[in-house]
Amino acid sequence: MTSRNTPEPDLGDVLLAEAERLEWLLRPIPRGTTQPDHDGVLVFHKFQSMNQMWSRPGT
Amino acid sequence: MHSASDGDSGAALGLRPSVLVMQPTTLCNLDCRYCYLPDRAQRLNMSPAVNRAVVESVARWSDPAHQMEVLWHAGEPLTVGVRNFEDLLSEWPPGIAHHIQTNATLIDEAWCALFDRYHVRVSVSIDGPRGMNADRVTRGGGPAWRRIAAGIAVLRRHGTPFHMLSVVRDPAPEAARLIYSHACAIGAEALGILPEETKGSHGGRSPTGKSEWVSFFAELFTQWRANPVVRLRELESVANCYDAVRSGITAAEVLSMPVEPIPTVSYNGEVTVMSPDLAGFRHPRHGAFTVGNVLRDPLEDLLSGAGSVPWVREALAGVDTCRRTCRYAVVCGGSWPANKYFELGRLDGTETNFCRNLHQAKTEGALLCQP
Ligand code: SF4
Repeated sequence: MTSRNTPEPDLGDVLLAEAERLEWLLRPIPRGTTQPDHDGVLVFHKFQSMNQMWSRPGT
Repeated sequence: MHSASDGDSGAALGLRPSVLVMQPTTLCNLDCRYCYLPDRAQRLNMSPAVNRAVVESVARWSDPAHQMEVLWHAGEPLTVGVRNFEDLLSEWPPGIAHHIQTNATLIDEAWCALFDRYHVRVSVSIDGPRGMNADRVTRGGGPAWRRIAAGIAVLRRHGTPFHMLSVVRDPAPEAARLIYSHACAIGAEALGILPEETKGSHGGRSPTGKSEWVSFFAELFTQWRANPVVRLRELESVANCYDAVRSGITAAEVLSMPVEPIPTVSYNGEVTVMSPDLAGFRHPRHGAFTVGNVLRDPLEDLLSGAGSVPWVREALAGVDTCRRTCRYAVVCGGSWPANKYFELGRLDGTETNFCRNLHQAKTEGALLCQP
């Protein structure tokens, strides 16, 4: 992710740099359908239900 | 997802909603101090004709590969009564997942039976243990706690699963501990957190800063990690973003994602998009936050034309700027026009207290957690 107006590091880079810690934190969440090679969509709105997360479009 | 570009802004509204909000009534039987709903003291119920018009549109775009959820929300949906609510639900085709956001005070066995019959998923608005619900009051100004707790007890007796939605004013770490342990104690399946917002008829402003919210979320996630029995909406949203980043999502992909339209149908058929919180409000220049009425035009036509409605174009421009300039766009999406409008006075703005205290803080809070 490119951040044009801020000197802060790219958020994607930060998340990846902290992957070990995040993997530990998120381990209890069932993420079976969230494989990294999925070509998917993000759900941003606050009415998301828990099953409506990172997934292929239309699935 | 199909999308329609408005021509001016890079961000475009999606045409196939994943969630549709139905407002079956304006009335709420409570008068919570932070509530923003303008007509909550009046009973203006949705007519069968409005409901039917929406159902017919949804049936036309229905596609087994495309999941859509209906959220019944605002004022207090249960004030319409079991019989009237069943009349509305019974028009919907099977296979649509219905959700309801309720203050729980009117829940009884008849409501639980209806939730069972129509597989309605229930989310209860409760801010935490008793002492954290002082702002939730009846129309007479008395505490609503006893009635909320009684409704939750009925849900539990009946075995109806439910989620908990907590509005938080004071993000002390102790509040995070109390809220999470209360969600566990009442047997909620999932917990969502909303920092108190500056919106609509509620003029209050949260005096707290982002760093306090970061600590709040760090504590909440730490509590959860030690005892992960209640799902946390905010942490799952961070997981969602992290998975996208691991997948190699690019800035260009975030920029080009269709904006979730979240069509919101008011009791009288007026349709708002992008944020249900705009429904019933007016912009000084653009007028009412509506894209049309389902009694005059099919919902799918209203959605395909929405991108050229001036206030929507302005809101989409704000999404586009957010996505181009903010490092948190991958976790937030930038489409929070109600918060932008009510806090900044403009739809095409970017950063708000709300986004700092929720989207940014939850992400940074997760990064503070360690084994
Ligand atoms: S965090 Fe705020 S400024 Fe950043 S994309 Fe979201 S709404 Fe826009």
